[in-house]
Amino acid sequence: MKNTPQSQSPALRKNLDRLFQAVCILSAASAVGVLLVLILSIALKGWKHLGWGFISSIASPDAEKSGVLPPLVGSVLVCLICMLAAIPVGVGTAVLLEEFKPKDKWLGRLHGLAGVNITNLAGVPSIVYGILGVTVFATAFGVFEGSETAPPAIGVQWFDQYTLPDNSAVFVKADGPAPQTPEAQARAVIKETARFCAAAKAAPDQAKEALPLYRGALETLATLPETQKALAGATLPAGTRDLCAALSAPAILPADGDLASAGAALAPRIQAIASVRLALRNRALPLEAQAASAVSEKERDALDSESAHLRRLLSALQDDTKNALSLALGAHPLRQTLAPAGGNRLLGGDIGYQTGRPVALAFKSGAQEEAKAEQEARLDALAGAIKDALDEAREGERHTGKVRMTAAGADQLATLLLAAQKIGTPGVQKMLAGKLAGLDGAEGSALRKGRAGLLESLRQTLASPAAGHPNELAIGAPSMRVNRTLWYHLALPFGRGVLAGGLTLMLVVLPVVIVASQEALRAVPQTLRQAALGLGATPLQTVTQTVLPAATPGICTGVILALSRAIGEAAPILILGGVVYITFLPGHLMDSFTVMPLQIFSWASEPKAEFHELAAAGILILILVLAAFNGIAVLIRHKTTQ
Amino acid sequence: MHTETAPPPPLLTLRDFRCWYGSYEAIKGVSMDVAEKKVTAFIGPSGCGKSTLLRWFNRMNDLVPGARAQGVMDWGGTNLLDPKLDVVALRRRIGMVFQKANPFPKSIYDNVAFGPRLHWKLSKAELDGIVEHSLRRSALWDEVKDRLHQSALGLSGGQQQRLCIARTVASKPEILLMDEPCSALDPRSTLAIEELMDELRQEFTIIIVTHNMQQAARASDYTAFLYQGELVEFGETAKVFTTPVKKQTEDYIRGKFG
Repeated sequence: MKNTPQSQSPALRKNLDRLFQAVCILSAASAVGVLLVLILSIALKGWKHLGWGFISSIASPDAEKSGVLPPLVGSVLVCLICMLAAIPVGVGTAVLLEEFKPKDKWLGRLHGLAGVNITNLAGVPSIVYGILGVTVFATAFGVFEGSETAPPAIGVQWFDQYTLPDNSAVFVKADGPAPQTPEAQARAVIKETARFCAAAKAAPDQAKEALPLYRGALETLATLPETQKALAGATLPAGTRDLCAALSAPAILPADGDLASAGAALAPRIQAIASVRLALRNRALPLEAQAASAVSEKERDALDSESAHLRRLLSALQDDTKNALSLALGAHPLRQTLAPAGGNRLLGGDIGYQTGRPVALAFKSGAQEEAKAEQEARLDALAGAIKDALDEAREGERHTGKVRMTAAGADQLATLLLAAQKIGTPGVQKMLAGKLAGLDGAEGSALRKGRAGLLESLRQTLASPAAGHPNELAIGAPSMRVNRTLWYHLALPFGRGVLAGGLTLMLVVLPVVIVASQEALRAVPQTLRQAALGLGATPLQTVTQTVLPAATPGICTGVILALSRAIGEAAPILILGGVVYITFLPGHLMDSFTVMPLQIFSWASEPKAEFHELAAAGILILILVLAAFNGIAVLIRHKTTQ
Repeated sequence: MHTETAPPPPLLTLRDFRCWYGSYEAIKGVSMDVAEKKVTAFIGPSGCGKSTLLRWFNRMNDLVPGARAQGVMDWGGTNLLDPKLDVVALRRRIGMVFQKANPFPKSIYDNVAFGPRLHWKLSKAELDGIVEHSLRRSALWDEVKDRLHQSALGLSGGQQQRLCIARTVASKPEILLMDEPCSALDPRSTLAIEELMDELRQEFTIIIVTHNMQQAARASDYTAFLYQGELVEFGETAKVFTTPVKKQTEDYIRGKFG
């Protein structure tokens, strides 16, 4: 038609209306439909795993026994901390931006700039916030020197962590010049492993020295695809089972109640077990992946049976060590000390997946009581040693007429002082200083000079990057720092724990909360503010008594959006915590943790289908948790709207 | 100053009062006296500055960016233009009723109790007394006494505006500023509010801005006619309406413009 009609015919108008309605219905249906299909497919996949057992148990290499308790608790805690921090900070910022606009021109521009920037911040990738969170909360810009634990590699599983350095180097050195061909190397590996295993079985107490070698052997095994050829006929290095048995023998603990030596005996074994498990798992995973993509049924069956064998061994090793440890601790006074101090985690948990750290933590908490009494004695011993060293220095003075300490003497003293410092809480260090002062007072200026030299030496030792004293590793984990005891539960920096995680998520959701709150505040009619101000309300009273209550429903909408984002965030937590697989609950705000998205990711990246089902079940749980959280916000919104 | 009979003592004194929004001069030198316990009406066409003037009395213009004033605005020795003046205390003593009824989204009771709760520590009984008294003064008590704790947003427009008056009265101000309080109301509600003003002038000094000539004639004692930011005529209402001095005033009152 050439001429556009002046007015539409009634029929056309009606049809256009209908068409528009149909388009709206179609778009809504496609959106809802896609979501519905997605949720249904996930539900069908994960349905059979849902249940109390799934919620209340920890992750395990056995899909049937696996559960989501640690990440679930982690997610809930982190989201609670996140919201507790984000709501006041976000709403406060929004109130400043909306209710207290400055009158000064330049301040006004600054104000506007801040507003625009906050809106832009909402679009910053969350991984950036993760890095920011690490800098600000986990390490506090490195202001607190030396209190940061070694940053974990990103995305590793818990049992990959805290291996001793240079294991393979130790292994290669131990065997003289490294064999050149892969076959020769693999054969050497097997030979060495078998030798160490035999040695460990014969003398469990000496197994400690052999541990780095075991680890090196097993890791080399795992990293060499060529070893498969050499291993033909034997799916596992001969002696692995023996090694496991040696490691889990009940005789490993000393009979007396010395926690420190018990810890020293136990923790490396557990680390070794973790390494064995890691090696087993690293062998099993590629097999499973190959099986999943195998063309012939025969090949698949062979690969399946081998990987199943490895998994069984993993599971058995876990049970063995758990039982052995329970048995070892059963009659041991340690058990009573450990039980209230997190030892349950050690006894009941998936022990093979844990490295020295939780053990060390457990021992540390348990050791605190004993340590108090013990420290006195140790300090006396140390003070005695220091006195001896000083005497020696004085001896030198008598002969040469100069206050000079030999380098070895100074080193020894520094080491002693360092050890004292490490075991000492601030109070204890004061005592130590008192003892030194007592020594000092008795002697003349020569000793004071000697002491100055000593302190200088100590300073140097402390300042050097390799200040780590062997004693530090006494309980097996690098993160173990006894002098952090007092501040462990709340100290800056927060470390890579739950609190830092929650605050990092706060950074992620803050722009969302601020922008939503700003919108909600803008929607409050100006007449309400005028009414309150006209009645003689102060700006504070106006905001708290009229504006904020009127804006609460809108703020709740923002909080729902923010929560939905926070609970699904994986990247910042990955950057911060670095660990995707943890088998214990966070015991305090500084403890390591994981969250649901990371656990789901971890399962989804396993090659076996059972774990994909677990991932689906995890997603369902995550959705339920989110729905519960949001239900609360909807309830508040509903109440305030009325 | 065209008052010829012996004027009552002035409460508010304006001398060469000028104010600006940015570079725009909204009021261009107004001098007048507002009498105590009388109703003073500001009339004039839209944009003549009457609302602006009213809002300077309790410094609501502080909220407007770029608003400033000079000249004299004095209330019994207090310079109302002093930038250091405690405006919160001032607004308690000079209450304001706005053009559009703006009850808080709270109960009727909480609306009336809002001011008293801010200013005084009161027992429940005392607060109840103030609420009832204020609602009675605003001729609203009989209509709402059975639903004091229901939302004020459920009231009709006229009731809401009377509630706002009750809310302002409850803070016991000395001066009541009313910015076109009846412009959105039907004639019956308007009448109710005018009667209310008649009642309230026993106790308060009232300054009202209105577009309604009849309302100014009926309800006020003094009338000020502003035009384009200047005070054209100011005097007793009867005089201004019957024998205006200026031609502009006469034209406006007769409805020839504005």
